[in-house]
Amino acid sequence: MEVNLLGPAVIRKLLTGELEHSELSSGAINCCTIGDLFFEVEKLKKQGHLMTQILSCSTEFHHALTSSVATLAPLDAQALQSGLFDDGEDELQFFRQAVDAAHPSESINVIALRDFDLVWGTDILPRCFPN
Amino acid sequence: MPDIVLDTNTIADFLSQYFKQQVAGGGPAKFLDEGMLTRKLAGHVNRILDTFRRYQMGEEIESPYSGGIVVASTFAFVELCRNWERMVKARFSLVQLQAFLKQPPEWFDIAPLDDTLLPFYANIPTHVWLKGETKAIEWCDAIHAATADSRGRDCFLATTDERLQAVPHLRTRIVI
Repeated sequence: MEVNLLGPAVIRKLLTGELEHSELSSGAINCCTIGDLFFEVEKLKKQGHLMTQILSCSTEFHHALTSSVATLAPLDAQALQSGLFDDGEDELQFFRQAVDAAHPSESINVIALRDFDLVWGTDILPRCFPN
Repeated sequence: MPDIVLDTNTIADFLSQYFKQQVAGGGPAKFLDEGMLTRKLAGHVNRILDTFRRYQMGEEIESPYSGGIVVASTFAFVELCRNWERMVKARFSLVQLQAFLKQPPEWFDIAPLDDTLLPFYANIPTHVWLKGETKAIEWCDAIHAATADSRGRDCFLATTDERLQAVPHLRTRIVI
């Protein structure tokens, strides 16, 4: 099955209604990360964009999630356990890509995608965030 | 009693004492007034801990959860790990952190960062009026505030961030 990572620009368009969820490829896993989602909402907030539809969970982005056209990679306790650590040869260590990322939202994306790849059997992290 | 959400600065000192004091055991160990865990905050956490212990000892309490629980966002743990040396200062190990994430005590919840948090996040102001001027709220800090709001409008927030302390709807719920 085709696997796509929906980038920040697509998430933003879904949040603002510039893109309808029905325009997303329906025969693919359309993954989006929670880090990108929150960062795009932050930008919209700072630009004074109306939050009404986000507050009522009725954006095209929400419709994409509820209709399963898009799948979110969240940062939950499970994602922390599988995305944050690396079993080294001698001792437990951090998964360096997760903690060394330049921006916190990138750390969130790496951890969430590492877990997403484990759950869905995909390869989004190495493909989209090569180390 | 409502829940209490710990931000990144307070979670580091909380975990340090959690392991050092061995509060996970059945003994009488408690959190102390030390570092970011002020007397007020330590007292708040100890009351939650005490309710669960009394319940486990067989005291008639309808639900130990009625006394609230301690909460931290998954994002607080990410920030902690990004600043590991500076914040943890070798007070606990990576193995201990992993064990905590795998099996936190029943009076502690690791709150997810997912789409259900979005409306609460959108409701946190981007700026606050502080010391005579407008100051921007960092998006990282807004996540902790949104996590608190998502637990009910009376949920407490333990934060050292002055900007969050100045958010009108949070003012009365800050514990520090």
